[in-house]
Amino acid sequence: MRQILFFVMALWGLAACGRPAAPAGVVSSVSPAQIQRLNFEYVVGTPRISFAIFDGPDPLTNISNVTVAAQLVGDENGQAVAAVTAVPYTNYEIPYWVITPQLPTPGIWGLTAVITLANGEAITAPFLVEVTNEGQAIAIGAAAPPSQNRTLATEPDLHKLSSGNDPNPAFYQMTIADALQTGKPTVIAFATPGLCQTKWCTPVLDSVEAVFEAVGDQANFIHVEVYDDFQNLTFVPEMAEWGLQTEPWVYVLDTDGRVAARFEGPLSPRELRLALDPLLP
Amino acid sequence: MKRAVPVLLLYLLAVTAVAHAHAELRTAVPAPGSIVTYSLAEIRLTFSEPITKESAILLFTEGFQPVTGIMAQVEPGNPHTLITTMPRLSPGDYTVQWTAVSTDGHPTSGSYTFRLARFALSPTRLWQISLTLLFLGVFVILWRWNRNS
Repeated sequence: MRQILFFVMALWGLAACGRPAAPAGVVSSVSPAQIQRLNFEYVVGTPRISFAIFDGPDPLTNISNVTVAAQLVGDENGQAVAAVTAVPYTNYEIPYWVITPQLPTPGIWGLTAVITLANGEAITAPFLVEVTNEGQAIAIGAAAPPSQNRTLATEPDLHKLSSGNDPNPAFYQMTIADALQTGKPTVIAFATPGLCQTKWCTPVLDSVEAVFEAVGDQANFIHVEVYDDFQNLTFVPEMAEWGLQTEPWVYVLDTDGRVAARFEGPLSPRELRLALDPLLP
Repeated sequence: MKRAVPVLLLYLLAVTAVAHAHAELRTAVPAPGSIVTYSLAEIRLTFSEPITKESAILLFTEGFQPVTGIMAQVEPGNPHTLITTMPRLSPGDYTVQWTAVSTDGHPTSGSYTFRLARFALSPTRLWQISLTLLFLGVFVILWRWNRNS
């Protein structure tokens, strides 16, 4: 009996030793934060860099502060930029953050976001951006092209002027060229609300509409639909005229018709107001 | 080496300057925030929609030193998945920066970090070792008991 018991125990022990390991050797987390870049054109100077922070598929919550430091990748002199505090825009469908760091040199910049949570815990999340000497889109300070975009005067069918479900006719009353003659600031949204139905793109025109409701006729508001053919998805000529290869973009023009601000990707009403309000009478 | 790498990065990042975002990252191996205790053979990223060959993966160490030898490709027969085989990596923290270009030309870009551990005990491995030690102890007791009787 003792021999049998001994034999069974020995087999049991051998079986335990031979138990296969878990396929994924993951024991705990490092920093779970994921950064998603929300714009793509960064020009030397103080480029607007917008990003969202995720934990898995959901936005990371309970963030109290985000700072971002930058260093030029591959630079033997170790060119670096001190950390700047990111501005939160949480009144958007997906909360996002914006920094405008001084990046004086073209190249690949490594950014390290330090995310401080409400409980005081700090986690880091690195990401990269490419900074160029010149961008493709019409730059801040440049004179706006006097575009002859389609309006209700040239295209009476509102649903050909916008891919959105319920376009606001007020956005299709004047061309950009007309707006430049009014002496008012102008907000121009290049967007395709019906054909870019992600949580990033769709709310942009809603933000513009919210600001329009608040500001009224103190400024001109124009929506330029990105596509003139919703079947073949061909761009309207204004996209090339403004150097736009992405969408959505929102431009704010001052009363002289120069670009005062521009926003690629998500844009909250508050961020738009911060750019527009100083230009209002 | 240091001069060649930024050129590669410039090329890989250039593909992001095409259009705007659509494909979303669904799953990633290694996972964001994970500590990897096994030999890492590949990075495997799965997106919400089909992606094109313009999609890319960058891998860099702490201090933004790029890892060379990373050549991402869309997995044959699985257009939702971007994979790259891996060079042999030293233990440390790594950041994956991915760019996914969907079939309509719209890119998305994101990044996350994982740690490659030199040696770590997963809960499963810890359980195995504990159980093995327990059995060895019982085995020794039984063996001595059997020998003495």
